[in-house]
Amino acid sequence: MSLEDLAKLAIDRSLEYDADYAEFRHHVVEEEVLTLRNGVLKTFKKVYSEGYGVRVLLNGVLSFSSSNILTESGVVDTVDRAIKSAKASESLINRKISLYEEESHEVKYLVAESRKWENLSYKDKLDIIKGLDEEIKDRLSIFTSFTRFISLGWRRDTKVIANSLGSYIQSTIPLVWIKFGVTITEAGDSIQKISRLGGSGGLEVINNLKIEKRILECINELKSIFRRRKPSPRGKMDVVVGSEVSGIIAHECIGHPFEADRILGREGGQAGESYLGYKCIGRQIGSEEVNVSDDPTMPMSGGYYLFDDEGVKARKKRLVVEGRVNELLHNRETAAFFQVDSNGSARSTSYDREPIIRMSNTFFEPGDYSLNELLEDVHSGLYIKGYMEWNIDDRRINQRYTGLEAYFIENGEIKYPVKNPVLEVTTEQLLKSLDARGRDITFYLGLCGKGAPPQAIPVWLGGPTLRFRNINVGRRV
Amino acid sequence: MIPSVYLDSLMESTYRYLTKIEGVDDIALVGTRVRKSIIKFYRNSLSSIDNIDTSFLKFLIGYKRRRLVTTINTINEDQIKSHIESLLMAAENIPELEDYVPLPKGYTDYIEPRGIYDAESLSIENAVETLDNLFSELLNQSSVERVAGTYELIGVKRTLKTSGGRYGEYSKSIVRLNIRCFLERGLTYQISRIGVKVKDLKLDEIPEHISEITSAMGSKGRVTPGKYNIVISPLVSANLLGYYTRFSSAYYVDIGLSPFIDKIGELVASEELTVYDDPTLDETPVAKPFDNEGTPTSRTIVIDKGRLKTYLHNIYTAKKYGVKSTGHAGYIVPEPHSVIVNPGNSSLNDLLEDIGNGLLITNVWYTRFQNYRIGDFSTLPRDLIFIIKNGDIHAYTYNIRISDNLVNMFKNIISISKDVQWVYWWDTPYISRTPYIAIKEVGITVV
Repeated sequence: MSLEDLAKLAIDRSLEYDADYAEFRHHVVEEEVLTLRNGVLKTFKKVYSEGYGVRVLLNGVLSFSSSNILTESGVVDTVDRAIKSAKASESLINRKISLYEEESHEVKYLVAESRKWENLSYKDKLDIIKGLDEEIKDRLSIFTSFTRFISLGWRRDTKVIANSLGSYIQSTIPLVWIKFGVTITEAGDSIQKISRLGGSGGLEVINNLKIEKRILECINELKSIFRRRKPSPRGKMDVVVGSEVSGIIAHECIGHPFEADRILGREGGQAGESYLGYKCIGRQIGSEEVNVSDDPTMPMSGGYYLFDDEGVKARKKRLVVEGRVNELLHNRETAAFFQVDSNGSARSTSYDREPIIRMSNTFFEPGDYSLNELLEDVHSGLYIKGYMEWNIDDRRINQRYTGLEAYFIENGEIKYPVKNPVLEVTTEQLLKSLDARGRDITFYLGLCGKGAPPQAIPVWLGGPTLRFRNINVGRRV
Repeated sequence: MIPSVYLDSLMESTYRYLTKIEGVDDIALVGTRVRKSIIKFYRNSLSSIDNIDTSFLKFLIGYKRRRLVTTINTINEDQIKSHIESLLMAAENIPELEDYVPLPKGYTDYIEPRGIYDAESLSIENAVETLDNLFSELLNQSSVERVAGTYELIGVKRTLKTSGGRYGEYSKSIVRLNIRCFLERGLTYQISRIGVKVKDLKLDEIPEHISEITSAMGSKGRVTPGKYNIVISPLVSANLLGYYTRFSSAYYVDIGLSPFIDKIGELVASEELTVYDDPTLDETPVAKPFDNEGTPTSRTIVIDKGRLKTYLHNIYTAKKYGVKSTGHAGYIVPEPHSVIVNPGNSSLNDLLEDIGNGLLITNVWYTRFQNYRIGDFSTLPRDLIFIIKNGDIHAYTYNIRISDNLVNMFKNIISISKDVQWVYWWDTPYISRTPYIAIKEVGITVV
């Protein structure tokens, strides 16, 4: 049977069982990774995963079933398991689930690749990271001890999503990335950086996002600061953060708590809940400078898609406007609960995972300031460009970002690098102290974790340089 | 046992196909079928039920002195052949390894741990009834306002075939309960249990345990930043020692992401601490007779009375270090199968007395490192955190963070409980059997 016929079979059979809604997603994930460890290619990894998931809503129970047996009998068995499980677990339902009904779409889209992954030889692919690795090695050769790794990776998601509302959506989204890690150790001191850059598209992404240049700039900076770092000042001060830090802030203390399934409590046993309650729209959570969006439609982005995995058309969501909660991230279930339209935020990482609410590309909207303008009236403070360690509590209030590439600022001038300054603040303290945004914007590729079983999904983190006034800075103890 | 018609056929056809290809010198093929049901709930109600049925192959091909690693999750034989062809084409363009290591040869009789499969424990109907009863008992307690979590029923069949003449297979069942109780005053408490059979979860003890915990909560207290003596629960021990044991992987040592570089034989923890990995244990969810390269697994002591005894190896990393594989392949990254801590002699009350004044931390998440090479990290306590005064629970507190160095922390262990528990939560690196551990002078920050 063709894929279209299998999808039709799954949906028709589910409806014969009186399902209120049925959805079929065929999902192929292909991945390849070449990794150099200290300059040597040790292994070449290739992954292929293909199967389908069927989700039904039956008497208020949401049931998901998946398989990689792509035959008529496989689909029948998969639907029957979903139905049987829904019936068996009905006694655990206290609140029947309903789903927002989106208009149907018949669409086929793909991300164009001007340098298709398959068209470049593995020798040429290897040369990309070999060249970079040599450059990194040369730059770090002044140190007595250093280790490094660098990976070139590719992933392609090919999906067919069909549902009982009549949608049939086909998509192909490739993603190319480079991840690197360096550790310098000398005279009892050590510095370490791990980062991943990339986006959707073919290998042209490496040039378009200036990935090689950015990695080498990062290495140059580590080389420059490692021996010169002084203890960080402590106490209340102005802090300017670079795009890597502003990205993780947007992701952790705005993106995650704006996931409406967390607000409902659906992630309560695992990834946690939110500082936002059911009636949060319009609530002031920060200064008027806090303007944060999530936009899956950005070309070349890490979290790119045009229709979500529930068949809902994707669009930019302005989560916070001038410090007020403007919109949450919704799927069909939370949209029905909150009585709004779904804004197309449901994604899954593979055929055997249910679609759940995910961020895509989450960022503070850029402002008007240059870096010099942001720094110029900082009397005594810090400029934290990058970080390594971070964490946040399960309601997204108590958070910490420990700076790596960080500098002391005096009278608007960068004076010297400082070691491991710690921003450890509440969301309220942080967002209320934001007073200016740079006009720059840069993104990093992240793998965001959520769900049970866990789903690590590509997203972009990044944004403009931001200035926070009079916030608490500590040091690692 | 778990039926595996598709998997067996795929294993056979894939192996046969590979053996006919010129240049393929080594094959280690691992086939896995997983049948999993996950009942997810929140606010005392079902959120969804997931059923996963998947068969996939993981394999290592030694091709013209290159190590090619792949995972194929499909039952389409043509797709598998095309995947292998493109893998080999890629290999022609990448350099051969100077230090290539062939797979071990010769028949090995794998010893399957006993009592690792119980079909009855995988019934959804029984699981629903179990949860129904548990919810009722918990919600009857006035301090429990709501519950959220997952109940997982997992059946696994794993088969190995290598060109070295090795063959093995086993089936096992895993049941896993993760339940978070949302208590009065906005507090929470997490329970995580894992076993081969439902009875391993000791579900009947949970309501009483919750009752004891909530009656001990006391009033709200605040702490100031500083160094504190702390007691960590089995769940916290599993999180932190999971990362610590992972650091013993030769892979992480080689790329500089471990504080254990050049530390074999040296003290990396207090002499109170012995950590080992043992997938040969009967009736446990960690049972695994062979690794992905066909090396038989065994009990591996990683930290012996505080001293780092070994790195974890596959055959490739082992050659570099001039030792034998420890049976931890991971074709690329050697990984522990389990984290097991030798119990101490003390009760939890003894540990609280040992620290005198300090904190009892019941769960953590978001353990992140500023520098893996030296072990600087922080982690966030979540769920109940108790302030201990004169060896007794005095109050509960919130919004704190452990910020320290993991090596220094484990060197500062005071005592270890005799009570050990099998745990594996959403943020636990490996299935673990861990105790309560008392540690002195741990850095605590407060927001």
